[in-house]
Amino acid sequence: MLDRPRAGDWKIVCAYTGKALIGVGALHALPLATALACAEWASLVDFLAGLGATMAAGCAMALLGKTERKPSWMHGMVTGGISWLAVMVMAAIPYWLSGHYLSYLDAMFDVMSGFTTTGLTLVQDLDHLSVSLNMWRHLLTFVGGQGVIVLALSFLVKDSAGGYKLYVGEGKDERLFPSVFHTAKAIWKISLVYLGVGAAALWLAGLSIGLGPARAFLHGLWIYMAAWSTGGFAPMSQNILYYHSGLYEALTLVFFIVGSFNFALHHAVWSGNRREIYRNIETVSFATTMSLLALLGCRGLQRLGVYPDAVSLFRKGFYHLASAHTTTGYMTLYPRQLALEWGDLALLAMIAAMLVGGSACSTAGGFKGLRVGIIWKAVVQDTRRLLKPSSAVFTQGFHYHGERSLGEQQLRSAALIVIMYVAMFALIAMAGTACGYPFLDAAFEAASVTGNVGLSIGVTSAAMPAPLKLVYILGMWAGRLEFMAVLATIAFVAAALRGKRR
Amino acid sequence: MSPYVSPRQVAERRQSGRRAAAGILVEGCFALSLLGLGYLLSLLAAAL
Repeated sequence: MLDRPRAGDWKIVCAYTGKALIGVGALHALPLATALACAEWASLVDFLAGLGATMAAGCAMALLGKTERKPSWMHGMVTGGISWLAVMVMAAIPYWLSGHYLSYLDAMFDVMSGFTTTGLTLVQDLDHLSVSLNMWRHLLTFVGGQGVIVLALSFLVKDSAGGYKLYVGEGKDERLFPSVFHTAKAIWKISLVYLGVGAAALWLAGLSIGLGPARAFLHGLWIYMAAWSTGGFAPMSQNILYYHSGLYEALTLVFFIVGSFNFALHHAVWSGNRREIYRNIETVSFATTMSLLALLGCRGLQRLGVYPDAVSLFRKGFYHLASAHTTTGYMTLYPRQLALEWGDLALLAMIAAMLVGGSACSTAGGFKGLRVGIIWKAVVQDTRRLLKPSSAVFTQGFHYHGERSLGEQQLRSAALIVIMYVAMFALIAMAGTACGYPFLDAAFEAASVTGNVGLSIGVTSAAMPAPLKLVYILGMWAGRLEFMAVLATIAFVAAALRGKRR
Repeated sequence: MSPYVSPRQVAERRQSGRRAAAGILVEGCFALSLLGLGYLLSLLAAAL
């Protein structure tokens, strides 16, 4: 039986969750400034209310939890889990006050979808959202790509050893620098430099298709934010289809592919180690699985005669496959077209792509190319072992920021995460089927939720049953944090309720 | 903290900027090559 947490344990979790809330509270400044600049007075009041409530809750928790104790691994994991739930509750205030959501649950669903870079949405009348509310939606998904804890670490957490435990609790474990603060700052630097480049490119693309300068800028900025963070939000309900532009599609493809790379890979390439990009096991695994699944998906579409030529196959089939594989969720189709036109083979390729996902320590979801690569190397190793004399000793290596040899521990943790993803996918698909949706539709949406993708076949809507919305929220949360923080949080709460007194 | 920035720091910043620009170019080219591969696969699927 687990030991019941002491008051000191709660204090540490409370203090760091409070700091994450203060970080999210400070984020309200950007939509507030946007509301002021655009004279959106009703939205201004909504954001003031959100800012006040989030800051008050954050400061109260930080003060209540004030302690000299350093966080342990358990505290880091539990804080990772609880802080994502706390920011979901508080960041939903402006959404709910805007009147664009039917319930507070729907508003929280969209916040969790944004922060986890999923991109599913329950918003009403998306095409007529205020500029500041759109800024808030895209800001949440941009910050979520980097991580809520990374945000807090960058500005509010001073303890280096404890900071690393919080960082790992958020499902990231790559250190770009020995110091976790420098790592958090490097992640922000990479993201902000790319933000400037990407928003400028999409702004020019927007101008070229006839959008006005201000509108082209805002759309470029928002689409870039959601592409880089592999989020998939867009300011219009038709998503990328709204622009009817090959250039816009090509640019978003480039940005979400680059956004799905590991931050350690960006850092290595930016530091002059350019060969890493084609030697790294993750990029090799990503290119291989994407090619195989794209071929399978395009073959399925071709067999049904859905698209007449290679260009259409590329713009529809490959675009959506890449969008699924990078866990972005951008669409150039209506959701029901997937269900009614695409056929089983293409949809199965999409489901597999969504489950595999992008790179570890990136903005992407899924069980990640690194783990696919490690498991594949283990299969190769075992096959080689069968073909060699029993006395032969050899090691299987792989390239991941240097040459490494495959160890039992790496294989075990990779296999464990893949098993947990597949189990969660099965459970969420069962929940969808139990709510009356056809199995393939429920499975597609479950893969989208589990892998934090955001592509929808039409299941996700404000009209879906509330229990299914809850299941999807929990699925997005667990998928983003890669289970360990979620399991630690559940164990922590269970121990608080029924644990053994120390 | 002194506001003075030494010539060495300026040179380091410039070099870091150049490396970042080269990095963006390399990553962009890699993503574009994946797009090219995707188009070839679409051609192959259309021909099958």
